[in-house]
Amino acid sequence: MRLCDAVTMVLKEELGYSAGVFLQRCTKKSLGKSPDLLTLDDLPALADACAGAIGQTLGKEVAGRVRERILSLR
Amino acid sequence: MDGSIKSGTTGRSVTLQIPIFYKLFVSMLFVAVIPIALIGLMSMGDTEGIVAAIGLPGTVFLLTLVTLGLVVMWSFFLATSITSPITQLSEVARSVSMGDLRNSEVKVMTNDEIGDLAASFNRMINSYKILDALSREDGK
Repeated sequence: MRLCDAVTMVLKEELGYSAGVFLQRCTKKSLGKSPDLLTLDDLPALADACAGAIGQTLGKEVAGRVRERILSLR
Repeated sequence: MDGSIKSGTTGRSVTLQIPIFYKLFVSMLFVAVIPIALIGLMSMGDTEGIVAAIGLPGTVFLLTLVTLGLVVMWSFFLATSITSPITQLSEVARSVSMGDLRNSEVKVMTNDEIGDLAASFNRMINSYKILDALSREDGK
């Protein structure tokens, strides 16, 4: 399984349908690249970026869970 | 429904997952068995004293009263445990459908079919909120 698919699956647990488009936006904004090009080294920065964006909309609790789950993919 | 009774974890607490199907199934059996069990107990025990004291109609009345009390208590517990989370879900769904996304999170208290429904509902609302936030971002 590709890393971007794994991250999408993790995000889907909390965000459902919007996970794909959210990952795309977040990856582009924080790392400046497409989710297809994600590497394991990108995960900490991506986890922080996703948690930050999610925290503003859905709260710190959901953001913390997402951050932990993304980091657990390493 | 997978039809299994299993333990699950919600946060720190461990809950016993009993599907509503089994709750209803067992309660129907329970209600059907109470009168038979009481009659059985009466027939096995020394009931002559009771019958002599309050008479046969009185004994039947007492049995009926005990059965009725147990069934009413059990039915109330069962009905509340099923309808209470559905009512909460319904209220949140109504306010979300009217565009009010504040307090739109449903607390998942049960670990049965309704708990699954609430978790899916929360995921759907999260998705809606994220898409809403992204579209607002695009609009800026």
